Formats: sequence, C-alpha cells, structure tokens
Amino acid sequence: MRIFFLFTIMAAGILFGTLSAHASSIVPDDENCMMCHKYPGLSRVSDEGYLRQFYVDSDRYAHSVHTKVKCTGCHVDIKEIPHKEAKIVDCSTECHITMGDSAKPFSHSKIVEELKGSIHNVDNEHVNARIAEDFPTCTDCHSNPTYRFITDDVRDVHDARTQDKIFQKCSVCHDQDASYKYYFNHVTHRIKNLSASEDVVKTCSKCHSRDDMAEKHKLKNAASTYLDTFHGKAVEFGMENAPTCIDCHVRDGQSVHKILSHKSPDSATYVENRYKSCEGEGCHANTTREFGLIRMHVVIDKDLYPVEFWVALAFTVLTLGVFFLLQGLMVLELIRIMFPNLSFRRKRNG
Amino acid sequence: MSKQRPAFVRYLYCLAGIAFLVYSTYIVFILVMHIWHHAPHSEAHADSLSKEDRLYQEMLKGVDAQNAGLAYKDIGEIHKLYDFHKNEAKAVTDSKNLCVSCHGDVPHDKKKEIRAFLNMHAYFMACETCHIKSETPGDHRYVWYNKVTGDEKSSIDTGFFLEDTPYKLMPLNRGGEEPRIFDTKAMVKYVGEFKNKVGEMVPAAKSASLKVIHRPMSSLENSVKCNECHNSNINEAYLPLREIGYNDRRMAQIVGNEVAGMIDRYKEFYIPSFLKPSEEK
Repeated sequence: MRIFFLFTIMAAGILFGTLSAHASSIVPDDENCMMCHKYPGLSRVSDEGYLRQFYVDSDRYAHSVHTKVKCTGCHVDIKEIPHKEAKIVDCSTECHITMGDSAKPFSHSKIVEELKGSIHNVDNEHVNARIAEDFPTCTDCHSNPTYRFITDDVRDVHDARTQDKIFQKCSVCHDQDASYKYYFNHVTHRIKNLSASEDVVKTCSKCHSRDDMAEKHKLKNAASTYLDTFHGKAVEFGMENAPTCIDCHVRDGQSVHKILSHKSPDSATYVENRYKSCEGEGCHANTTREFGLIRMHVVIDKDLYPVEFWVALAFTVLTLGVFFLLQGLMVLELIRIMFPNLSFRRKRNG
Repeated sequence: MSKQRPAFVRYLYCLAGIAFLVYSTYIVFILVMHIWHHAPHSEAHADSLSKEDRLYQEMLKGVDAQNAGLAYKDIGEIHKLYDFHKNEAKAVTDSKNLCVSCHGDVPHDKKKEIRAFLNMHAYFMACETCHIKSETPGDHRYVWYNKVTGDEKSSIDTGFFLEDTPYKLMPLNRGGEEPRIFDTKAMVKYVGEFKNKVGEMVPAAKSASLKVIHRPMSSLENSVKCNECHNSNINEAYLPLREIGYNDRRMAQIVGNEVAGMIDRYKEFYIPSFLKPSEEK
C-alpha cells in the first residue's frame, strides 16, 4: 500500500515538475529561511578576504543527510527574520529530530566527547603545540553530504565492507543494544562504502599536508610522506579500498574520532600495537612486532633518518646514472644512423 | 628517388626514437626525484590574489578611498571553511560590467547587517541601477544584459525568482544620443588606459583619475535605498517593475509585507540606522 502511495507521490512530482520546472527545486520551508537564502548572490567577503556564500541549494539539501533537520535545528540562535550574524553551529546541540530507536532527541554529542578524548583535542597530554585554532572542529572534516546509497550502485559494492564494519559505524552514534541491526537487515541489504580512500586522504591532508602546520606542531608532513609509500601510491592510482590514514591510525572497533597519539598505549600506532593494525582484513598476514617497526612517514633528511637518506641517495645516483648513460648511448646511436658520416674532426685536404 | 625514400623513413624513425628516449628519461627522472622534494599537496599555500585583485590593490595604493571595499572577483570560489552546505557553484560571474571589472562580483563589504543582501542584489542588478540615481522619474529605461555574452533584452522571464540568472538589470538614458549612463565608449577607453598605467602613476594622479571615473555616481547618501523599491506603495517604487517585466504576483512579492515588512522591522527594531551608508561607530 505504501509503495503505491509513494508511486502516486512520485508520479505527481514528475507531473508537477514538468508543469513548472523551476518550482520543483524548492523544498517545503515553513521557517521561510529560503525567502533570502535561495539567492546564489547572497554572499559577502569575510574580513580575512574569504568568500562566504549564504545561499542554500534547497534541491541538494533535500537529498542531504540533514534533510530532516530544519535550519533552526542547527542554527539555534536564529529566532527571527531578519537575523543578525549567526553563531558557529555546535554539532553537539540536540536537534528537533528524534533517534530512530527511541524518542530521545538526536545529537552528535557522543562524537564530540570522543573527539575530546583524542589527539585532535588541544588539551590532550601529547599535543606538542597548544594552538587552539589549529585543531579541527566537526566541519573541518565533514560537510553536509548527500545520501550516497543509490539503488543502481548496489551491484558495485565491494566485498570488503562487511556487516561487522557497518555495525561498527552504526555504533558510533547508536547504543549497542539499539535496534540498528534490525534496521540494517530490514531496510537495506548492502551499504555502499561510505568514503572512497582518496576522500579520506584528502580530508586528513587539509591540515596534515601543510608544512607550516607540521612545523608549528613539531610533526612531519604526514600526507606527503604517506603519498611516498606504497599505501599512498595505491590510493593515488585509484586502488579500491587502498589503506588510508584511518586504516592504520584507528584501532579495530574504535571510532575514527578517537585517534590517539602514538605515545599513548591505547593508540593503534603505539609501538606495541602497530603490527596489529597491519594485520587487518585483506592486509598483511602473520605480522610480527618487528613488522610494525617499519617506518612509514619517512622524511629524506640526513639528520633525522641518516640510513634512509644515504640509501635513497645511493639508489637515486644508481638509477639515474645507469638510466641516463644508457639513454644517452641510444640517442647517440640513433644520431649515427641518421648521419652515418657525421664527424667533428676536420677533414684533411688530400 | 627510390633510394631517398627509405632514408627519409629512417630519419623519421630515428627522430621518433630520440623523442621517445628523451621523454622516457624525463618520466624516470620525475619518478626517481619525487622522493627528494616534499610536495605539500596542500590547498592552503596557493596565493589567493588573482591578477585583477592585485591590479585593484595597485589602484588604491596611496589613495584615500573610503568606500573602496575588497573587490572580490570570483563568486563561485567559496572558502572551504564556510562550505558546509556544499553548494555546487551556480553563480554566474559578470564579465561585461565596467564597475565589476574593478570592484568584483561581491562588491559590498562595509555595512555588516546588509552587505550580503546588497551583494545578492548586485547579482542581478548592475551597480548603476542604485549608484547612479535618476534625477527625475522616467529619466532611465532598463535593459537586461547577459553577464557572459553581453546580449541585451528589454525583458526576461521574471515569473520565478532570479536564482542563477545570467541576466542583470541595467539602466540606460531614455532620451539623448548616448544611451549608456556610465560605460560610454569614452569611459571604457579611459578606464582601460587607467588600468594600463596605474602601476606608474603617483597617488595624486591616481586619485584624480578615480575621481573622474566615479564622477557620474550618486553620493552614497543619495543612492537608491532598499525601501525605495520595496515600498508597499507600488506607484512610488523607484524601479518601474512592470516595465522591466514583473507580473502582478511577483510585484506583490517584491513590495509585499514579507520583504518590505522585513525592511521596516530592520529599521524599527534591529538597526535603526541600517539604511545609512556607513557603519555605525
């Protein structure tokens, strides 16, 4: 019965869409925010010289993961129109939607708490430089994505995302005893891998690829050193499910928001735990503690890693020396074929 | 002849071979040497100033220009810090307007409360519409010009709100020989010469030229205000809404309580001075 109802709505939608192509891009907006925010020109340049566009593409928003949340569900300080400058959204706010498995208001506060326990919190004991504005907030890594689960994609789902991994994702927000397993089994058979490997690397690279950040926080340029490795190259060449930052830095079963310093004994990258991360599903088999000691983020620096420096130098000289010489010989040979009698010696008269 | 042809083909093969060898050497060089430099892979290092932005800064160097603004050029380039809603860049950039060529597509940045609203209007109204106010009603006629191609139309489909329209409203002189009220051929030429020479000009000369360029502008106090168009008395509206293509329903929205009432609420409750041109201290 519901399906018929949906079809009726869809058919009406298509009919309405053809009758009025423009009107189809507007979603119901009982707060009337779109009176102004429907205009792409609603924008200004911030004092730092960045463009801020206050336009909200309602068509896109309707397909985004926050579609059930009204504007004021996040922008809680806006009470009237016209409004003054809105405050930065606090993602731990309880918004007006309720959780699927209870009548409790929904909130991302659990994740905010996890972030507070991670190395990405300025107060974490292992932080090198306590510069608060350099530390990520929710929106530094997350934007408002559209739903990626498209029925046409179902046959493309990679085997690597197992049910356990999906449940692990669910448990980030929902209680373990929650009925998400029920929802999973009944609502969807497959879930598309949520983030492509290159997207994960891109997200971390926003901060971890910046030399100025690395210098301030006494870290290495994690992104560029990662891209030098086989793991990084696999991502760059588009290998599906290639190991990303998360695969090594998040412990099995842990939330990605709770990344810890390698100095913390609970961390996935703690020297005693590291090899366990390598042993993940579809990764390296039978790893040992020593396997985990292989250096990943290597900077070619004579003072920091002298052995790596000299090995790299030797291989560079060897490879280029042999290759250039060989190529040079072949070019000379081709020139000789083109000009068999070419000589720079002066011809003797007589 | 028959002997020359194989020689010619041989030449060709040899040259192709040399080109291939040189190219493969280049590739191997890149592959080997990439470990030696740490490409930052960063978006943050890019110098954000465009060529036009630099020219604009050059124009203002040493000049006392109170209302100059920032001259933001690319309305599609949202900073990633403020891109939570992930709007696909729909905004059409104006490449035809003479004012925009210096002041950019997002020109208003002074009055905090209304700058975004003003920029929203600048998206479909040429600067001249408000900043060169007609002295007597009926002095100006209006055309909609295409921001990309420059084609002009006397009316466009305004049955729905102007979302990502490529058209902008532009006032023209109704009578007289010269239809343009600002970007006359002489002015376009003058501005072009000014831009070319601005690097070598002393501040006083720059000031004088900027004065000449901005002479046709109404003072900010005398520019067209919000409530001159969004006025509940439609006959008093500054813009001839019907003439520029608005139907009754859309006109009612523009002058209706939602917009005009909002402006009144701004005026009465929030920022009594918001229609004044400069920021309240």
